[in-house]
Amino acid sequence: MLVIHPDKIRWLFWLRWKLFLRGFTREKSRIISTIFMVVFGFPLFAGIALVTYIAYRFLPAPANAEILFLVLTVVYLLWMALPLLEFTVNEGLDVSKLLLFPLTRSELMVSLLFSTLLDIPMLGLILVFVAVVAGWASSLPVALLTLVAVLIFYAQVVGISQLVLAALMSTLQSRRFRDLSIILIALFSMSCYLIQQLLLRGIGTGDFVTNIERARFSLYLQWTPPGMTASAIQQASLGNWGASFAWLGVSLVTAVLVLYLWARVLERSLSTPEVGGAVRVRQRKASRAAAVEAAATATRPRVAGGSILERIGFTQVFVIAIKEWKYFWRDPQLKAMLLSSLYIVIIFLVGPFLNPGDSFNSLGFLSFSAPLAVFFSVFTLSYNTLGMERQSLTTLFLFPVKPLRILLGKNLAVAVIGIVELLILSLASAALSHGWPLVLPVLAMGLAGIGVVIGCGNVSSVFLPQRMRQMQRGFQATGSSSGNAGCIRGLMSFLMLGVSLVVLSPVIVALFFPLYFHIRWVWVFSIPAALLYGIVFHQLVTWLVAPRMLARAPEILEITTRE
Amino acid sequence: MTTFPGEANAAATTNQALQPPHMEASSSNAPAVMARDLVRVFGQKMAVNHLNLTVQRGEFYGFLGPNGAGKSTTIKMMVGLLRPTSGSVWVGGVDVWKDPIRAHSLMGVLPEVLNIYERLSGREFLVFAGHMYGIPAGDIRRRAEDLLQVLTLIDDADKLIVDYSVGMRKKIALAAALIHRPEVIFLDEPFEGIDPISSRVIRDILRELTQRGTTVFFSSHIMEVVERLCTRVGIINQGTLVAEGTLQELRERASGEEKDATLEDLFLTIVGARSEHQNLSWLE
Repeated sequence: MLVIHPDKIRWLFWLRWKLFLRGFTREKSRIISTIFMVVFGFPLFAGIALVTYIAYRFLPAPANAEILFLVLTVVYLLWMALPLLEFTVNEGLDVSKLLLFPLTRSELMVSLLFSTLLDIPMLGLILVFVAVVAGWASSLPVALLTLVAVLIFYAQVVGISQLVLAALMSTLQSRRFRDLSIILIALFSMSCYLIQQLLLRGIGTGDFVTNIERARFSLYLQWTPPGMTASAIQQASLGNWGASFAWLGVSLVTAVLVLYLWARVLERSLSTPEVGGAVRVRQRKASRAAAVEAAATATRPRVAGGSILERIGFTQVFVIAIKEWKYFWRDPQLKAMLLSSLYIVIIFLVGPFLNPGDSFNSLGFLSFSAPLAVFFSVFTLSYNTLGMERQSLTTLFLFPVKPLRILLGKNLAVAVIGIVELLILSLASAALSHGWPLVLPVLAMGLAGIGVVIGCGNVSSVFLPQRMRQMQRGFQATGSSSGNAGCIRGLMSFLMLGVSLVVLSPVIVALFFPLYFHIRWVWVFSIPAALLYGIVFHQLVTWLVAPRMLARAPEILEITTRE
Repeated sequence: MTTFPGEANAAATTNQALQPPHMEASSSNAPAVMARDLVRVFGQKMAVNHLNLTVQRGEFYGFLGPNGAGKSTTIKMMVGLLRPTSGSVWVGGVDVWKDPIRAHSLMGVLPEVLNIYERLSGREFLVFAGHMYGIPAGDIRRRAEDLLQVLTLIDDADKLIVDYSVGMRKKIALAAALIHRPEVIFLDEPFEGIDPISSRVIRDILRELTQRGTTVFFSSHIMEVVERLCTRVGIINQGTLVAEGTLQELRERASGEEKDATLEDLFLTIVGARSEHQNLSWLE
C-alpha cells in the first residue's frame, strides 16, 4: 500500500535537514571532521571517479567492463558495511525515533531514501556514478540507458544498506557489537600501511593492465546486483540491446525486491517488543530483616593490621595494575590503543621484509629499532594515563589511596606490556639479523627508555591531562577519540614525545655510540648505567609528581571528565 | 535548630562561635559533616553562596533543593571532587581539602552520575574497592559477597557492569561505598532509576546504618522518601541554605500555613515556587 502524504515527507526531510545542520552547530569538532572529509575525501572520490572514467574510456574491451564490474561491486559492499559502523551517528536514519508518529511504511522508506542525500559520503558516490555515465556515454541511447541503470543501482545500494541496518538493528544496539566495531575500525586503520604496500605491489607492476584484460571477474559478478547493472551497461555499449534491457529489468526487479524486503523487515523490527537489558528480580529466601542485619554487621569489625605487603601499599599497586590489564583487554577503546602499540612493533618487524634492499636494514639499525618501537608503543599508553581512565577517574580519586601508588600501579601495567614487547622485538630482531651480541645493549636501552617514557608520562598526565572521550561506535565517533582539544592536544603530545627523547638521549649516546665507534667494551659500564638512569629518573619524577596529582585532583577531573 | 531566610546569617554566626576553627583529627565529638562559608563560583554565577551547615553523627540528613540549586555542587565540594572557591569542609573532623586521603577513608560516596569501572564485573569492582579502602584481603571477599547478596546482585556478580541496568549500577556503586563501613556516606539522588524492591532494601540498609552510628547525607527529589527517612532536612535554593531543621521544626515555624503540611508543601513554600494556572483550552 503506497500511502504517502507529501506534507509528511516534506516535514521529515525538514527534520533530517535540521539534524544535519545542528550536528555542526552543536558539535564544533564535527565541523572540523567534515572539513577534513571534504578536503581529503572529496579529492579522493574525485580522483577515483577520474581514474575510473579514464579506465572506462581508454582501456580496451573487456578490461573496461571488468573495471566497471569491480567498481560497482566495491561500492555495493562498502554501502552495506559503512552504515553498520555509523549507525548511532546518523540520526536521520534512526527510525526508532519516528515510532511515536502515525507514519506509513512508505512514508518512512521515502524519507529514509531522501535522508541519504544528506550523507556526505553519498556526494562522493555521486561523483563515481557521474564517472560511470560519462565514461560509458559512447552514444545518446547508451548514455540514457547507463543513467537509468545507475539510478536503479543507487536505489539498490541505499535499499540494501537500509535492509542490512534494519535486519541487524538489535545486533547494532548490542554492547558487544559496538565493542567489536571499535576494534575493527582500529585494526582497519592500522592495516592501511600494509594494504597500501600490497596495492602498490599489485598496481605498480607493468602487468597490471594485462592482468585486468585477462581477468574474468564478470563471469561471477554478473549474477550479483551490481553485476546486473554492469552487464546492462556493458551489453548496451556492445549494441546488444535485448540483453541489455533484460539485465536492466532483472536489476530493477532486484531493486524493488530489496526495497520491499527492507520495508517488511523494518515493519517487523519496529513492532517486535524489546528484549534484554531488563533487571532480573529474584526472590530471596532469607528475610529482608536478616539480610539487612547481615549487611550492617558484616562490615564490622574492621580488622586491624593486614599483611606486610598490604601495609607498605604494594597490594594496592598490584591491584591497580591488575585493573589496568583487565581494562586493556576488556575496554575496546583501550584494547584498540594496545593493538595500535603492538602494531608499531609488528611494523618494525615486518618493514625490513617489505623493503629488503633498504640500507636501514643494517645489523645495528634493525636491532636498535626494537627499543625505538617500544618507546613509541609505551608512549602511546602512558602520556595520558589519567585521561585514559575517562569518567572512572572520579571513582579512583574518591578512594583513599596515595597518589604515588596510583601512578606506580598504572606504570607497572604499562611497563610490563612494554617489557614483553621489548623482549619479543629484540629477540626477533636478533634472530633475523643474527645480532645476538646486541641483545643486551638493546634490552638495556629499551628498559631505560621504558622508565624514562613512563616517568615523562606521569608528568604529562598530571600537568597536561587530556580528555579521552568515551567512544561510541562508528568512524565519525572515533574521529577524536583520544582527545577533544584538537591541535593543542597534538602539540602537547608532540612536545612530551620530544622531551622524552631528549631525556633519553644520554642513554642513546651511551649505548649506540660504542657500536658506531667499535668500542663495545664501554658497554660493561654503560649498560648498568643506562638501567640505573632509567630507574632513577622514573622514581624521582614520580615521587615529585605524585603530591601534585593529589593537589590538582579537581582540576584534573575537570579536564578529563568534562561532558 | 531551625533556620529560615533572614535568620541564616545569625545562625551561621552562632554555629561558628560554637565550633573551634581547627578541628582535631577525627575526634568523637566532632560533627560528622561541617561546612563553613562554602562558596563556589562558575564564571559569573554564584552556584553556592556562603553555605554553612553541620550534620551530627548518626543523623540522616536530607539535602533538598530545586534543579540547579547547588545540591550536587555542594556535595562535590564536600567529598573533594570540586574545589571550593572559598570555605572549608570537615568530614569526621578531618579537613577534606587539607587531608583528602584520610577524609576519603572516612566517607563513602554515591554520586549522581555513576562513573564506576564498567569493564569490571560487579564482584571484581567490589574487591577492587575493598583493596583501595585498605580493607585486609581476608575481609574483602566476605564483605563483597554479603553486600552482593543483600543488594540482590549475587546472580549478576560476574557480569560486566557495562551490561547492568541503571538500578543495578546504582546498587553496585552503593555497595562499593559501604564496603569499608564509612563514618559518613554521601548519596546524590540515590533512588533515581531504582525499582521499588531495591529501593526498599537500600532504605532499610541506610536506616540500619544510621542506627549503628553512620551518618547519611543525601539529596533527593523524592519528598516522600526524605520525609520518611530523614531526621533533619536542609533546603538549598539558588546556592543558599534557606532552611534547616527537623520536619517538626520546619512545620512549626511555617508562617501561618497548615501544621500538617507535607514536606513537599513546605519545600514549595520555602523555595517560593508558585503554582500557575495554565490555560490549555484546546485540551477540553
